[in-house]
Amino acid sequence: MEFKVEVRDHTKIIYIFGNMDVHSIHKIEKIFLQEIQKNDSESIILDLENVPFVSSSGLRILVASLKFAKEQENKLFLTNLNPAVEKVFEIVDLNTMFHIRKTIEEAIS
Amino acid sequence: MDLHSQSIVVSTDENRVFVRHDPKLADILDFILGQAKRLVGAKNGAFYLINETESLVKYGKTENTSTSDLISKHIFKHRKNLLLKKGSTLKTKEIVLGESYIACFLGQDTGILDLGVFILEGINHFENFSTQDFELISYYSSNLSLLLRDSISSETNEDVYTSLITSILLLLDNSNIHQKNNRLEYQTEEIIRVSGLINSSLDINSLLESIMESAKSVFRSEGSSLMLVDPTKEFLYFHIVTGDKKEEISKIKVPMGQGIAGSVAITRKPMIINDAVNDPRVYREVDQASNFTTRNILAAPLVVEDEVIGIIEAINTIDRNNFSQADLDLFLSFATSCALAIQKTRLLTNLEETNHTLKEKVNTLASLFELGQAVMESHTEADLIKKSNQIIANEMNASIVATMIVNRSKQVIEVIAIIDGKEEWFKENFIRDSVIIESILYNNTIVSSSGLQDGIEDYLDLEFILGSHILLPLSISGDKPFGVLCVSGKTTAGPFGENDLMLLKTISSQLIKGYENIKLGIEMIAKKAIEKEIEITKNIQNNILPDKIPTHSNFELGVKSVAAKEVSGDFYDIHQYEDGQFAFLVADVSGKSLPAAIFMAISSSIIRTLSRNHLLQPDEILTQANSLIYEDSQSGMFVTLFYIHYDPVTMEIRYASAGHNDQIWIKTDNSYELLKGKGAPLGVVPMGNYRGGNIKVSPGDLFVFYTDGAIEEKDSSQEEFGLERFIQEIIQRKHLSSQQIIDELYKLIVEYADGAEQFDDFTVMILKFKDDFQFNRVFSANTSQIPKIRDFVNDSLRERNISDFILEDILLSCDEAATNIVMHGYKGIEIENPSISCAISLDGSKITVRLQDNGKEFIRKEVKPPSVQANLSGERRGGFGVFLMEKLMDKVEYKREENTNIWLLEKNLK
Repeated sequence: MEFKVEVRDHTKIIYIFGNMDVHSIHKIEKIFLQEIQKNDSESIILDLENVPFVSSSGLRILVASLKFAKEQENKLFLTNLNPAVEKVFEIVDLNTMFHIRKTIEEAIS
Repeated sequence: MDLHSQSIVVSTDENRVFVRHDPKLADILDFILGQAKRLVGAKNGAFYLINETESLVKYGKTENTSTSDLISKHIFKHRKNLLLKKGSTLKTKEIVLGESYIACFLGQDTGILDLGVFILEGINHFENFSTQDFELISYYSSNLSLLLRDSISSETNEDVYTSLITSILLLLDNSNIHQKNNRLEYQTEEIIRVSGLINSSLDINSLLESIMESAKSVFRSEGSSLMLVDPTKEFLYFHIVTGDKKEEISKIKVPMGQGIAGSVAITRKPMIINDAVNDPRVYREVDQASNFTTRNILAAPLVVEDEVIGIIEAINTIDRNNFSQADLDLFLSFATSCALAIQKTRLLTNLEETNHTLKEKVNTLASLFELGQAVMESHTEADLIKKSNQIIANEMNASIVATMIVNRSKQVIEVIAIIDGKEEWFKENFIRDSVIIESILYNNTIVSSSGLQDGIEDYLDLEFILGSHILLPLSISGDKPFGVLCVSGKTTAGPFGENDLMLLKTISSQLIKGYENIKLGIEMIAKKAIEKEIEITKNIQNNILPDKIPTHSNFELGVKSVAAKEVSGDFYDIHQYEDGQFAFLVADVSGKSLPAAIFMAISSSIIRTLSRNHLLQPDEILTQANSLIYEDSQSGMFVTLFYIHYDPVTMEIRYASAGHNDQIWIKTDNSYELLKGKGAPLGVVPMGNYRGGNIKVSPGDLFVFYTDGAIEEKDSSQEEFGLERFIQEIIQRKHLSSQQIIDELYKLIVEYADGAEQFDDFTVMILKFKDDFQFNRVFSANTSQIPKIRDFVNDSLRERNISDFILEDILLSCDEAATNIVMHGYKGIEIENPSISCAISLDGSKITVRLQDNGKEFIRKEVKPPSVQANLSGERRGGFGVFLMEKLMDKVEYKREENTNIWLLEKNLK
């Protein structure tokens, strides 16, 4: 897993690439969460267009991200979820917790 | 009568003289004769004096009166002194003189005073009077003549007689002195002469004789001898004897230490024995044998290089009673001369011998060198032998040289020979009654100075043994002889002897070494070449055959491939595609050894490469393989091949064959089917046309691959094992594992061949199908493998027309299950190689994934339902895994068996 950060106005967009499974999360988890915790923008968009697969480990850090965002009073959005990934969110009832948007634009607005 | 008429010598009126006969005169003459005889050792002597009647009157005695009369007449007439040698002829009368004579004219050669002749006949112990004797007697005679002349004018006869006698005595003294002087002169001359002789080229015996004769004469002894110490050093034997008794004496041996000779030899000191008759030291046997009386002896040792090699002796003085010290001193110098002469000869002989030996050795070395060259230059054994024969022929002057080598296994003897310069080369039967063959069989070395015995009939003997011959068996360090060297037909005088044998042995040992080396060299090169070939071929082969045999599917595989010789002509391949399907093949390449191995490498890589392409069906693979192999195949090599694809899910086998044996499908009810494919072996025709087929197997079925080596093995009565029996033996063992079936089968076939060498390469591969997960793999239990587990599941199911939703769910569940095992099942426990085994089974209605691990027991109760809130509040981290797994799959089952956890995840396909 990798990620790229882009800032637009007061929004931080984090593009995530690759599978979010236990193995790929492992190495990057710390840095990723650090990025979230920077608290240098009003809202954070996590773009998952290039994430084909999310397992429970992936969910875990997404939820952790949400936690930090709430604490920081940042708004957290998830965009461009794959159907399979979206399905997972539904099963675990996370779709209500997260602000899920189809596109980044949507999220920004 | 007046006084004048009383004188002895009377002059007449006619101016002649004559000697008047007188008894007193006769006495005096007698006395004079006696003295004269003694002086020179003469035997007889006489005066012939002229009387009144002008005839010569003889006073004294000679043996040969007529001869002496004649001589004196002659002398008187010619007024000349003569020395006549024994054996010479008087010209006038053709008489051969039996003795040596000295005849002197008494008177003056003026003719006024012709008194008569004084004659001496024969000399004791010598052949002839010497010149010195002659001179002495001449001197004597001329003085006598003067005395007689003077007596003419003397007063009385008495005075005449007195003064005559006085004068004669004076004359005698003078003569003695004269003689002594002469002798000394003579001795000195002799010594000088003898010394000179040593440097002459006379042979040693003539030289020694000369010296000894000289000694006898110088020392005026009756005899002289030279004795040598014999090789045993126990005796002295007579080597040279001079003097009368030489015949008798020559045979006698005197023991060392005995007799004078023996003593002198031991003491090394010269001796004079003057009273030999009474001296006890004298060795009587010599006298006894020769009937001789030894009166006195002069003996001196011969010393050469500080070794006494003999002695010289002078025996019995002639004109005196004793040998004197002066004699001894002089005698020693003769001894020195003899010793020197002998030493010189010895040295020369040694030199000659040394020279000869040296020459021989040089020759031998030269020929050994030549042989050494021949060894280096020869590339074949025959070449070397030919060269060696030539060298031997030259060195040993042999016109026939034959080297014969035996080939015992073929019972043949190979002959390479040179006869009179012509080369011969042929083979003959080894079993024969031949002297030459016998020398090989019994390892007899023969050196013969004569030729073949009578009655020899064998061709080899007759051809190669001519006259004196040598047979030298050839062997390598003590082994049985492998051949023989035969040398005969000597072109130089004399037979072959020990020296020749030694030379031949020296040459032959070189020859054998060279021969061995060439043979070994050739053998080694051949052996190395073969070894290298085998190594290369083996390497190629090893790279062809698959390393690992997959065990993870719904079949069990056994395979055995045994080469008949070093290198096999069979190969097989097993390949698992990513999607879990399989390709299997067996192939049989025509030909063996390196070219075949290379061809096999090429063909197998072509086939494999093509087979890796999952899109191609078996018959398409064969078609393309054939084209490519045909391009590469040369010299008529080809491959037969049977190729299948197997899908574990559908349990379908698609097959195709390129000229291979029909493979066997054995069903659970023990019936069987032979599967044929259509098409030629690969590499035979440029465009192949292959048509195979497909079957569907069930669990419990067997699929048998084989090459013809398995069924064509022959027993002792040349009957083949046969396909029918092959199949039945397998059917009987169906319950065993594939590998067990094959191992037993192989043993059977080996037994069947009954100890004979394996006829052809044996290759059998058996697939035994079972009801089992169709896809199976083991992963090590760490997080990096979890994506791989997902890929495995995905690959296995990807082509199976399963909807994406279902596939996604399965993948996620597997991920969660595996994650759970890795993160929790193995956490905190020490296990070597923690693993997860993942098996997938797919049938028409559902997919089952089974995960197995050896971790801690999973207690479901301990897993709380996930809570996002808890996550958000930080109370929990995660906890979604099991929940997801259970939600996504239709059925999740967990079992604990012994120390193993088994998860079964099921998902329906509809």
